[in-house]
Amino acid sequence: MTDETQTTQPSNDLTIQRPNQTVGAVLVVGAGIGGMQASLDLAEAGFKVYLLDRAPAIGGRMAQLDKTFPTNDCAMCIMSPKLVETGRHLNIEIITTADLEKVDGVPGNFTATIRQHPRYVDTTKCTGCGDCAAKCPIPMPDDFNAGMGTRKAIYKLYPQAIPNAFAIEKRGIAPCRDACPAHQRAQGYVALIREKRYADAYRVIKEDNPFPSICGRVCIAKCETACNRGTLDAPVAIRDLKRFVADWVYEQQIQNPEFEIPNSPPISSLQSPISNLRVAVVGSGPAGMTCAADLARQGVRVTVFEALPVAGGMMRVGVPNFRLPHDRVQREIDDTLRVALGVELKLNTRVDDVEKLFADGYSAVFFAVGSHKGRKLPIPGADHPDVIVSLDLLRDVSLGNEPINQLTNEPNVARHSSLVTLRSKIENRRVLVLGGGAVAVDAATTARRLGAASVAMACLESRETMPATKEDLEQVEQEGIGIYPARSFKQIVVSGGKITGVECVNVKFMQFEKDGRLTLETYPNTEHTLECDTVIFAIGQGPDLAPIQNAQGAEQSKRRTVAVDPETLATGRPGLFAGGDAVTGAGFIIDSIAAGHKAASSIQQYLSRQSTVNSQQSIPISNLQSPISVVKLTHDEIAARIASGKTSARERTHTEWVAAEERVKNFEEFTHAFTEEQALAEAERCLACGVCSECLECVYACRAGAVNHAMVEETRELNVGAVILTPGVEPIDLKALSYRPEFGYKRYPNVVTSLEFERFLSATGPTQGVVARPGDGKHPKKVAWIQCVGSRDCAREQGYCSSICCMYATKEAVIAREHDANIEPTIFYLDLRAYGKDFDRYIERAKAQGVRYIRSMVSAVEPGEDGNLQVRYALDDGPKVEEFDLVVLSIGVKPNAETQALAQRLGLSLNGYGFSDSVAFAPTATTRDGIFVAGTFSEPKDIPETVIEASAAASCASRLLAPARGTLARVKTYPPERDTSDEEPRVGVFVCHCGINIGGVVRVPEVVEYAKTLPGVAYAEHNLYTCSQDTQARIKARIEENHLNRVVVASCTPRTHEPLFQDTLRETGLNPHLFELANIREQDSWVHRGDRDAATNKAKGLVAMMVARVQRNTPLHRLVFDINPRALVIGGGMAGLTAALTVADQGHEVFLVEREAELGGNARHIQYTVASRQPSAVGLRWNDVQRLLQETIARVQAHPRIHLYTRAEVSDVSGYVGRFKSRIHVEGNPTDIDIEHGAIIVATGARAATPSEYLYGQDARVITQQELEEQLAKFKIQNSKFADPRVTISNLEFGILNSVVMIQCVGSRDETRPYCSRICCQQAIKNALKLKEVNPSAQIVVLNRDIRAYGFKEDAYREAREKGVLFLHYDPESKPAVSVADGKLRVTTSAAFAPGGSITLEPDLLVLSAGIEPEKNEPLAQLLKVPLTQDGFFLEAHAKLRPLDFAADGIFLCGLAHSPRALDESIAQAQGAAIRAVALLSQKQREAVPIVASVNERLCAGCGLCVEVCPYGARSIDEDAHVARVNAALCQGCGACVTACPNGASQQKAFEMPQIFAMIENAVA
Amino acid sequence: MSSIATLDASWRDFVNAQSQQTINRCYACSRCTAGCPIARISPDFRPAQILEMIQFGLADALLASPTLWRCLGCDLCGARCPNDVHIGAMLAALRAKSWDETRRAGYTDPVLLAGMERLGKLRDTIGSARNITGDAAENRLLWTQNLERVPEGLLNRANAEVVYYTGCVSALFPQSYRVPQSFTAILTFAQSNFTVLGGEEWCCGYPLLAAGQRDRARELMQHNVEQIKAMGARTLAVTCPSCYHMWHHEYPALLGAPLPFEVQHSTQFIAGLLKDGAVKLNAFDGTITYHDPCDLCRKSDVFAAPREVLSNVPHARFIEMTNYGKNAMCCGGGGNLETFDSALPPKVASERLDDAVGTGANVLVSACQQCERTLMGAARKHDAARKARMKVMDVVELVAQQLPWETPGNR
Repeated sequence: MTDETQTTQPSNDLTIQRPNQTVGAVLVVGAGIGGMQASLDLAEAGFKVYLLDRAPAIGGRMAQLDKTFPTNDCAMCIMSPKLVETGRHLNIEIITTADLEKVDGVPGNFTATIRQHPRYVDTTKCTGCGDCAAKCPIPMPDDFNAGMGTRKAIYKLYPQAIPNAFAIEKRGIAPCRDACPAHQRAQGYVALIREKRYADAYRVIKEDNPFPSICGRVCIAKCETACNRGTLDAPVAIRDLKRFVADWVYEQQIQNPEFEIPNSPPISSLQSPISNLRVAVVGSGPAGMTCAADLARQGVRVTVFEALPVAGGMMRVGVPNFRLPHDRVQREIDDTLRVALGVELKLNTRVDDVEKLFADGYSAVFFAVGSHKGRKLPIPGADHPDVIVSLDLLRDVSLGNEPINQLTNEPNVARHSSLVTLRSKIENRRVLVLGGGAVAVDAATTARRLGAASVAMACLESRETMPATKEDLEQVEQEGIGIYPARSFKQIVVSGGKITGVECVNVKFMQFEKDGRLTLETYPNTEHTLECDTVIFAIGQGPDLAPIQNAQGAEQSKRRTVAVDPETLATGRPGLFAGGDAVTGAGFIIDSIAAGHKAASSIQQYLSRQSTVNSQQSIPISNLQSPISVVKLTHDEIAARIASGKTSARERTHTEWVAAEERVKNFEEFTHAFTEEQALAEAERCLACGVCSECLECVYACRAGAVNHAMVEETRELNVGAVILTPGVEPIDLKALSYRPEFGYKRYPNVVTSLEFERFLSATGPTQGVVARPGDGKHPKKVAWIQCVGSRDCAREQGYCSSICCMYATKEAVIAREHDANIEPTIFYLDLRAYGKDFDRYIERAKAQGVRYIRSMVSAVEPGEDGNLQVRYALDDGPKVEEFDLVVLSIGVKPNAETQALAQRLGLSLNGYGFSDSVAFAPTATTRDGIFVAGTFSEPKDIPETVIEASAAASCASRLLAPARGTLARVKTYPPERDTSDEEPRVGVFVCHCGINIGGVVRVPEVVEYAKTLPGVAYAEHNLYTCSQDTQARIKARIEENHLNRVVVASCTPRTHEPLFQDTLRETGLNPHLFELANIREQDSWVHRGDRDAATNKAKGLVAMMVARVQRNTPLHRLVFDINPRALVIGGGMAGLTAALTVADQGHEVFLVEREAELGGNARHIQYTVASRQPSAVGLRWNDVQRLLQETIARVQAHPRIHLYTRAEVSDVSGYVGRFKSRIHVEGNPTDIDIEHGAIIVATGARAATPSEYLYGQDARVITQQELEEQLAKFKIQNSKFADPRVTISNLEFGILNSVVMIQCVGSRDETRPYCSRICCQQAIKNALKLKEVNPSAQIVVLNRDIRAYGFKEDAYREAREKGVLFLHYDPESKPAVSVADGKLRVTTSAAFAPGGSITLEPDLLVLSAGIEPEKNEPLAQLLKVPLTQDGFFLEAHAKLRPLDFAADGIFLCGLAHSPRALDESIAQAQGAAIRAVALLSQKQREAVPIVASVNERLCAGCGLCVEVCPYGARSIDEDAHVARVNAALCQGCGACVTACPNGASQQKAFEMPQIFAMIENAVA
Repeated sequence: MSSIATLDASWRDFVNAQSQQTINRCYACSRCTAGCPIARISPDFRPAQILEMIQFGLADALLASPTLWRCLGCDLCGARCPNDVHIGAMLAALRAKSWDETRRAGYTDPVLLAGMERLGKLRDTIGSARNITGDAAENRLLWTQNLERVPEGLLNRANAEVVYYTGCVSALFPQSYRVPQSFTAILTFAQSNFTVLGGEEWCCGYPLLAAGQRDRARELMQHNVEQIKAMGARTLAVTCPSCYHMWHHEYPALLGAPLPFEVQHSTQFIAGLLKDGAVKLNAFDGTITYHDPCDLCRKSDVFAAPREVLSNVPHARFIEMTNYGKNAMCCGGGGNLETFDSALPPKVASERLDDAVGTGANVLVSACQQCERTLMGAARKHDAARKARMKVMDVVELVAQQLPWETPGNR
């Protein structure tokens, strides 16, 4: 054991080494409450602060909480002012959606590299109105609500978020979009279909594809092949959904000619440098028309030349009507022609030579003639007149000469002679189609409809490899068309002038090489003849290249198509571009569309530069190409989403077809579109792979133009002197860890986590604060909390205590009962860790309010009746089962993976649990100098401890960077204030639309017109967003132009927006108090959504009230006074010493007053502490407290700026913040010392209590922990270089200790001292471990009520048990009994396991954990006019968020005077109190709060009631004048005196009687 | 009357050393008691209390009571303990102490004395007959007499790749014959080259270990290993989870060397056959739930294999019980309790059956002949009481029943 024991040196940073160039800026990483506090402290102290967070808003974990313990304050209410202050602070730059990548350089001068993730929303433009989210079709689980409820892909983290701006979540590019040659945003339109927003869906399709209806029918649908869902069941039927949308829109347009597609690009002229250039497009197929439309949209004049009498190319003449109705094609061609200024289409105009077009003045030509020349095989018989080429057949049939009139169902009188000929070759004949692709299928099915006696297909490819799609072949087979695959054709057998068949051989192997060449292997001796009368060739086709024969430089490819640069589609002839089938040979429509886009882009560049284009340009309109990767979902991930119900489990929906025997009778379309019901069901199947679907609805919805989908990730470097990490922790993810499935989480719906329950309690949560079971919405009656889920579980690598769960569970139980008095809460716990200030009182209160506590850990949760749950636990008499309606798992916390990765990137070492490794006596130090840590990342802790540490970390950073203070901080200056006292009120009214938030309900222009009629109003207008930056400039201009001297803004909440507008007024020289805000959003448009008239009237009323009031507003001025830069520290213990040093090191003089002769206080009695131990580490580490203390005292004594007074007391204090005058009385000194200072730090400590029971003082073998510790300290501390090796075991006064009993809570947590002394458990564990180290066989029993080993102290607790220390619980009702019998100490205590129910121990020594009691603090409290708690400790300004301040300004608090705490915690408090003081002292001047109380002396009776109620000591009675006075420097404007004054003599500035009455009169008028 | 606690640490030191754990880590949370299947039906059996008695040196009182012997050894306490303390292992260590003659002289509890006598007989039986029933060695192959297809050279086939270790219960309890019969059918169907040891298969040693008889167990184990080594087989297939646990964990530990062959439980073996395509199964119309044998899942981590097998039965619906996997409740058949106090196991089995019935399944599958026996007993009572039929069978039975013998294409 000795070998395992190590001693760490105290590494408290007592001396500072600074680099040559110190930077006055600090980077704070993590913007929770800790990060905000550190930032505010530093910014106030004169540093530039960068506050960075991964999330899109600051606020962190606390923002998610409903209430906070032990005050039951609303978390958001108390945090919101800090949010606003942080958000508006001139010297805090908030950087959201960003990560810290690395930190280079030296402490004092670092370069921090930041990775800024794209937010896709410009925070400077976004006003947070929410119009975008209302339009966004992508619902996501709301992480802020613990995954319950939904938010959108574009979202604001929570309603009060700062920055008040939205962000878009993108996971990557959806595979459907990636796979589509035209990059159709399929996820986008599918999502809109799901919302029944078909017109919007049509818009999305149309932006990338001019032919929705066509592609919705005949597209190859590469999107579906790529669809992630295909890996699980079947891809989403994207093509059918597209057709559904197109058909729906056309139907609407037929019903209503006025029907418009929302957000379609306006048909207006677009001026660009290329507007006057002309471009010719040869061919009106998909490539040509797409290119024409794109160019026209850019303002280019385009002429499309088409040889045929109809436009559409192959879409029109290559695909039969029954597959793609001609009217649809025509409709989409017509649409395309109308784009922008319009496209000129010349039908029946064959271009024979493209050079002629250039000669005619066209600057560029896009050659997209398609591939209309059908081919025959050069085999004998191919020239027989009964051999037809498929394309000829399809074209002739398509060109309006159908054999059967579709309207009358009568045979058509054929106009086209060739068709007549063709028909006669097919009707009643046996037709054999040679070919296995889509064209062959079309030819065969057309032949079937033309009345062939029989139709069959034969092809080279095997059945499996036929190019025709599965659906095509299904159609073929249904229509009775035979298929002869794997055949090579030898000759067409002609007998008697008539075709009798085709001679074939069977194919063994075939493959087309890349250059189009065929490799073929046939089986010998398999010649046979397929009988037929007519042969149709459908084996390939090529373009007619004659028109480019004369184009110099344009070349032919090996496949006899046009050769182009694949990136630009440019041919060798400058200005001549080619695309579509003319380049690729027979291809897919969507590829041609993509080629059209590409060509347009290239031509546009060509026109701009009139030179060869060689760079790639993406498609126009939706230029969204951000470098994000394609989303690939795993089979398991998809299965899990379906299983969880997040995605529809349905199978793919199939369209209906007309029965084969019916459909072959005519040429009508035989496939039905999805019904709406089918479309909705199919759309539900989409997995929304990319999260954001890039449908661009948000772009159109945002009137501020803040959405930018083209944002990309950026890297940024910051020069800072120090870094503070406050990344916080996360509740552990039970699901991801598969943690203890016996608790039934995610298996039974009514088992929830504590965070989920917290959100149920919250008014902004998924149930708006109604406690309802997730399973069935039932209101639960019996609710169980199970503690230590993910905590204190070393079998699951969660060996530490999460510190907060006992209290938050109690809080949740109490608040739940407040929400619903029928709730009966039960908390299952093991040790109730209520170790903080006033925590035990809170527990006792909870018990009194009906919260039941059961001391037993739960083994399992099993299902009961009706969704109820059976909880299995055990009491002393055996196992129990109890049924509950709802079970809440109190989950522990842990730094997330990103935080741990960050720490590793920064080179910080982590402990075995993934938290920042600690440094002895330097609570905010990390293992890297200049990088500090605060809050839960160093150990789980609650909010006040986090706030304390945040200030401490700020303090350490400030101390390191002291020379650079103020070098980078900015100070805002304003123009001199305009005197408006002689002016008549001229009110300007600005009414806000807030996008559609207000404007969608309140008739804003009407309100403006009304405002203009109000007396005193000189000007009124409305703004889209009154809070936007450009509107601020506008308001300033209006003030100047109209010489306004009062302003009313009618918009949203003053909480967040009043300071902004007041600032705007100040910038024009107006006093900021000549402003009022009428809240017509929260108080009007949001609550009267359904009633425009009522809302508009109410808005008028609210505006009128504020207009009346503002005219009675008077300028208020802030009292400005000088600050004395010195500090007084009262108390010379470890806290006082640390505070004094920290302040003095930052350049301020300090008066340090200690009552006793010796410095050191309680720390003199602490010998060693256990360093927090990593679970993996071997053995214990001890920290030497005495060495730390001696070094600290030495530094204080030597410090040039510290004036030390020992045996001294502060005998008088007067003055106020910044201007204190105090008197110090030194014992034995005849004259007192008068000092002046600006701040006071109270560090007067507390003392060890003396026990009055268990024979203490009566038997020498009964001692306190402190006494034991002093004895133990005499032993050699192993491996310690400063321990005295001469001290041996024989020195111990008590002889060899073989058995020791310790009793906890002696004099703590009882009637006289109803609080926990916090340190005793640690002390007992520490001393027990030390005893074991001295004598490993010593038997030690610790009798306790709860072992409060919070945080990593649990490790020491476990260590003690492992080493054989026994812990035994006792109840306060049956305390241990101590007696002496036969000269032996006897301790009898209850023990359920033992026969008889109790055991008796006979220890050599009985050690009492006596706890801590406050000093006699009343005299000092009276001197300082600050309050004490019920227990006699000093009472801070706010238990949660102002733990180091008093309500009275300028006085700060640290150490045991605040509450019992461990040494490290006291040091943190002292450092924190120091920065609070430094932030004050570093200001030369200070402004008091402007809205203060005043006294009308004529009404004042001098009764003194106001003095009694003032919490800030700002009121006093002027004994000479017999009237009350207000100290404006101390007054905080709370208004307590105003309500207390019986005569109405106390008035609150800015809330004076005339102002209030003016409002009321207007309201009731 | 309060007892003077001696705080005698030798007890916990002994237990820690014997069971190779740190029972001192216990922080008295009572989860062990709260979950224990025996504590549920017999509340004076409280694992947490037992542990505290050992901690505080009161173990003498423990040894003199029947408490020690009531543990099923199912280790549910260990699975749920936040401090990784396994009461079963702790009690097994103490049971060894209990056989100490001088101590036993002081025992007066009639239940303890009667139970220990039965256990003593079992010990003696195994000692002489090398099996748990006292049957003659040749009786180990009685189960082969009714085989539909008797594989060629079943016994001691030279160069067999697989040795099938049947285990005492399967080989000697007629009620359990279906298990070896089914497994051999599967092996035959899959054309495995396998054999059995017959009379040379001795008890695996599990009951002796549970009774605290380590040295006697070692003798059996050495014999078994030598037998299989002599066969030169690469794989040892085991249908009994307790035998599997012994072979997998205790044999290498106790013999101090890794085994020269791979040990597979029948479910793992069958999962392999299904994966390789050596076996495909006929469709099964029914809803199945699966009972995890303690020795197989909780103690040996075999969770996935039986589920893989069941998911390969076409058309079968599968549903988990409330407590499954490492949280599964014991069937009641473990830890020699049946021998010590035969009244308790049926009560445990009945609770387990309730869980199975609650799923709505009509077939309860386990992968252990002992679980099958106890659960079948409970099912019979249950069926009689509620007229609901719950069919209980071993995985090997279900698989054998679905073998498509008639379709040559499947081969």
